[in-house]
Amino acid sequence: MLQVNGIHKRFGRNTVLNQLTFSAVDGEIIGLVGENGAGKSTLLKLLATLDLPDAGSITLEGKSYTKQLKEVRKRIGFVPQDIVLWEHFTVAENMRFFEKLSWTKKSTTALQSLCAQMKLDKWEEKVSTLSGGMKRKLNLAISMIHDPKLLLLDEPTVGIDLKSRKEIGAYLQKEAKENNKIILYTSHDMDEIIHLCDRVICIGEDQFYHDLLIREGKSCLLLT
Amino acid sequence: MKSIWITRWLHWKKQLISLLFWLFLPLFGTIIIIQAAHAFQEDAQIPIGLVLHDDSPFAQQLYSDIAASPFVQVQILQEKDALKQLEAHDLDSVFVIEEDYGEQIQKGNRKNVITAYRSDLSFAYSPIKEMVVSLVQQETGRSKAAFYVMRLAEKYPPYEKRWSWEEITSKSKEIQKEEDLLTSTFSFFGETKKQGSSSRLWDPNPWGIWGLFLILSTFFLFDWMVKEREKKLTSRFAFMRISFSAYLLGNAFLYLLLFLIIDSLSFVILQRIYDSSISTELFLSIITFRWMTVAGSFIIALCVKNIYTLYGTGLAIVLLFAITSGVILPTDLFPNSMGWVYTYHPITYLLHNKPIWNWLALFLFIIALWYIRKENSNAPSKWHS
Repeated sequence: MLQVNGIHKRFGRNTVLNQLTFSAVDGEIIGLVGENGAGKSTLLKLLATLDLPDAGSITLEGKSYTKQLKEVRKRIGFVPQDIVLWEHFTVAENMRFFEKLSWTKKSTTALQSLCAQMKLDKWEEKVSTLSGGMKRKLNLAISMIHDPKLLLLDEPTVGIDLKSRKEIGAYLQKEAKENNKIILYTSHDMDEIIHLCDRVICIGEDQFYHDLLIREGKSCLLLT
Repeated sequence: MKSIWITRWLHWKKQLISLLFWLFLPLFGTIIIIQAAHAFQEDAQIPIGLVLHDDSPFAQQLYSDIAASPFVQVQILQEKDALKQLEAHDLDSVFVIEEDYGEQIQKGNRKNVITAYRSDLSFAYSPIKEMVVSLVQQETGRSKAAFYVMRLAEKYPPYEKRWSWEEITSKSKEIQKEEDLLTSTFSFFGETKKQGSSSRLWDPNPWGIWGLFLILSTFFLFDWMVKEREKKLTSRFAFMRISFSAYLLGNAFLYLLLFLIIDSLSFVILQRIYDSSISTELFLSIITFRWMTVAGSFIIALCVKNIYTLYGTGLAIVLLFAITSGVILPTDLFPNSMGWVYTYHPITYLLHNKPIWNWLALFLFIIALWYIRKENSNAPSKWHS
């Protein structure tokens, strides 16, 4: 379970997040939506331990972000918006490279199977020759090597074709429902959010938040 | 460390040719530069012919004096062959030392002791002739002075000891050598002999040249640090077993090990080519110099944001060191007030076979501070953003 309590973040005089509180249970997919500059990426960075809140606390599976940072980080998978891959490596070499530095050891078969789950089958191909969709899948696969509990994705499907988008969506739903992962991701595509997520956190102007429950992929119920 | 080794190997095997080029650049660069310098200087020497009709020690001495000049290449020939080669313009000029040269010199007679030949293409005849004449004058002057001293001794007795002609001239040569009146002080750091005793105009210390190439290659090979930071790879490292700072240090250590293997090989090869003795002092100096260069490159690679700045900094440092170290330019060109530059100059340590502990300790201290700061940081990715 992820618990966020009254977090506050500001840059200079500009308050980006103010008293934000929410929680996420295992198997839940939460979409973060809002205008550009509303604070989606800042929230994702705070949840990813890449930045510190000015006030408030966050816990993941009971582990405090400030007191048990190392333990928390072992449980987080972060998919940055930028594709962070070795372009001159093959898919296999990229997976091997990050596996070697990862918390968990995985065999080549396990790594190959991870890629196959998201329909990334070009194992021996150079990354520079892959399509944008394939690169996004590999970007995601690398973040899943250590089998994280919380998966944070910053616009993971931006600029890719519909087929790859659906394949990534299907993979995320499977991970959440079958493996009890908590998934939070930002997107500007409301159709995708409604189709994929269980809940949506809307970050509005003046630090006004809505927590929406999505039912049957269509209607939303305002929670807060 | 094994993990870092495997991840680095994935990179190395993709750029093996480039890696080998930069690794062996110091070794091959040094050999090429020194051989080219020697070959160029030999080609630049003016060929002259010397015909010895006199076999006295004076004639041999004159031959040695001419041959010692770095500007000329002397060939001992028969008169007929020498003139034939002069006609074919294979020789710039020919000097014939006549039969009674030694006898005439002893008498202090300078007339008709040498016959010189030139062709219409003898461009260096005049300066060489002047050099030969000055050497002859030097010998005749010395001989005349010796006879004069002997005469004075005979004229104004009593005297405690009677000096022979040989004793006087040999003492004169000894004094000339000690006072070194005509020898330039043109010298390079690390050279054990002065220019006056060298047969070459420029005889650089191979380790000085090697040191300059080593700095250049280390900077160019350390571009991986800038490239990997550019890739925003650091955001992934927050969720990995190894921190980004540990990853950088581990990789730098691997590079150091690889460098040391190549340096040991270079040490043996360069010692074989340029010096027969294997010196442990020099080996220690090389190891510390390499370590210092790796540490210095590491710090600079941390400070710069693109590879061209790193390459430019490396080139600028090499250029600065080439000018100030005494490896390329003579140290006499700089004022005495700049003596401290040489005392603490990293290349000076290498040239004098001394370990470079002070610079190494400073760089390691800076790296340790950086590492501790990064490891203690709660949000390690902040520093690179």
